[in-house]
Amino acid sequence: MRDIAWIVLKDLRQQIRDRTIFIFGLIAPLAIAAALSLAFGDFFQNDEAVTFKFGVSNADSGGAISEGFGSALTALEQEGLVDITFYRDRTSLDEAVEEGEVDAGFFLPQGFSQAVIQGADAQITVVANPSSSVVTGVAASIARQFTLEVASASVAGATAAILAGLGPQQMIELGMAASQAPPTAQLAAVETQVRQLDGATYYSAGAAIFFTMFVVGTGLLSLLEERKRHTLARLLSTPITPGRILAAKFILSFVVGVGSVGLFMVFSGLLLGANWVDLPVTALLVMAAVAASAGIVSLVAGWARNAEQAQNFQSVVAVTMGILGGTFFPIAGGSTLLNALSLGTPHAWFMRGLGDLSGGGGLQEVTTPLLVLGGITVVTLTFSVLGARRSLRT
Amino acid sequence: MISPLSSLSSRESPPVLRVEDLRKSYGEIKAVTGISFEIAPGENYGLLGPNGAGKTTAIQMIAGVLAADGGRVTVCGQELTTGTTTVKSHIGWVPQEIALYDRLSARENLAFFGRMQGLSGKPLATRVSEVLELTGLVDRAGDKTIKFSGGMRRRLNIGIGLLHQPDLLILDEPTVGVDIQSRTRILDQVAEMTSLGMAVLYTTHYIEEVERLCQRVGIIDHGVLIAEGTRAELVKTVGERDRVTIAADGQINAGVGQITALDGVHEAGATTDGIQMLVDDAAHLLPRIIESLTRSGVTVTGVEVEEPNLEAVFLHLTGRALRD
Repeated sequence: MRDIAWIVLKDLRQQIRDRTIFIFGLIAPLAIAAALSLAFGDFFQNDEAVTFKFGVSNADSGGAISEGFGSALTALEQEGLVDITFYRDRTSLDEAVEEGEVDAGFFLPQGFSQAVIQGADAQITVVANPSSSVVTGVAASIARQFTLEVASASVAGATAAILAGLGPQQMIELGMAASQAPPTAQLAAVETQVRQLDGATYYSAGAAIFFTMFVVGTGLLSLLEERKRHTLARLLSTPITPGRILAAKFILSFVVGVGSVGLFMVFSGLLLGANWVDLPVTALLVMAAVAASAGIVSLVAGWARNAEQAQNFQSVVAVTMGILGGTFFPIAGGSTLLNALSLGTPHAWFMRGLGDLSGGGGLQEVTTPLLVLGGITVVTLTFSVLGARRSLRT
Repeated sequence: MISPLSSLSSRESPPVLRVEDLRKSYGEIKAVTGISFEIAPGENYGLLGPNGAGKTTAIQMIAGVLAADGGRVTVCGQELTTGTTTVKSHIGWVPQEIALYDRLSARENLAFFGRMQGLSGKPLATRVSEVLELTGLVDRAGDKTIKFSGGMRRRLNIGIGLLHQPDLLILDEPTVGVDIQSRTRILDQVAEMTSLGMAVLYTTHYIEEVERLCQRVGIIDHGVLIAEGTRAELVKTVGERDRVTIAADGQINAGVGQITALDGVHEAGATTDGIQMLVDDAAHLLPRIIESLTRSGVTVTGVEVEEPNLEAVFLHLTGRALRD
């Protein structure tokens, strides 16, 4: 183990002298987090409850399910989460959204309830200002959750219910019953991150995990750099085995990643007001996320032909995963595909874990994020070891 | 110059390095084709060949950093593969390229590679100091190597290979791209290592380095070891003779006639300022040649003896010059 430790210390010394580690590990994430927090932080103020102003225009007046939707929104209003204003027609609703009278609107077309019951194409139209992506996401989430709930799974589920032998009256009852379900729980389930992390913490966490991919890369990509500079061949001529060199590079990435995220968290708390709760469990989350990021970057580094190619791959992967993982803005409320892709990133699980902690959860609540991050680490490292044989060729 | 007695003596010991039928191909290209040789303790063995001959591929396999397709490398009685570790501590490999960490100082580079070789504590500190002294870098020990000149970096590159006092030192073109002063210093270092009993495998395409340093020479071309032996053996094998040029005045033609009659003198002829000839053994025949010329009325004003060198051997064996 001493030889591994000496390699790690040697690389650490070089990286500290290079100063790149400070740029990617501290300065850049602080700057990005500060900028994002200033720009979008108002959406995340927990101490002042978020209240969205929504308008509703129901052209399906008297329809059982459309009335149920109105009731669900009213229930949300009573919870203090939204302000609801009803408009007589679509034109009035559009004007209200355009003039900023409301943040977004819902339009239920004539025959909506009947269409749902018959399993035909039934749509709730969300009217929103395109520049208000977060509000649009929340409104879309409410509409989607209602349609999911109203027929137990989806609008198409109503068709399945009819095929199962339910009559029109039973369908109406089903719709009414579904519309009475507590909508606050649905909203909370979709918008966990939005609801639970304040702006400074959200963007600090996002910046930390985003730049972690670059920070851990400086460790793993040094393997390719060593090959380029012939020091890898020289290392391989010593009694140390190739596997131990690989292990040293991964440990280096992990140490550098955890160190830089830890340092960043301290500074973001002091300078940006980020609020990190349950520090021991947060530390576990950080370590798991860094390990998963290191695994992904090592996979990239292992299969790249040279250091330049690896750096390009790393940047593409880091930015793509950063966006998918919701480090710049929440993606919950997006498409099903987007949500599914998001769950393939360590970023999303890290943010989710922090959100759970911020919402009062503890180790038990972040077990799933920790396990998923561990799984990502194991899978990526396994494949990266196979790919690293190429890197260890001199 | 070659010392046959010391060479014979050292070769009585078990070899430090034994290479048997070593092979390596890259696709259709055969980089090394079945080379075999041995190096005894304290022996300096030169692997001579033009660029692209397969020298570097061969010694990377011998150093254990490149997997061979076939054959066997044994160092100090232990077989070497790319996966083996302990046997590597017997080897000090100095790659042709500078393999240093730019952001570390000379001392830090030495200490790091020393630790990788298993040194630690006081022995490591002592060896680092000794190597800094040997390479003439004591005054710059604390400077980052990125600030070093090419010659200094090259010397440190060699120093790292010497640090753990290996039984076998492998030097791959160690003087490429260095100034004359550094080159002289490097060659002196290598000679000193040999005198201390270290076996040296020295690859180069500079004939003068091989002739100065190496007791035995292997000539490699297109991945094949085409000849091997002491310098004298190699020269004798190809039947080369000493070229003698005599600056002279007087009865030149008469002198040429006299010396042509001597055994061991060939192709004698007059030049614009003297006489030129090929001689089997100049050191032995030169007194008789001068005596004959003097008796013929020739006044000798200068003598130049050009011994056959390995360039001529290479030319003879391959039909082309070493640096073509």
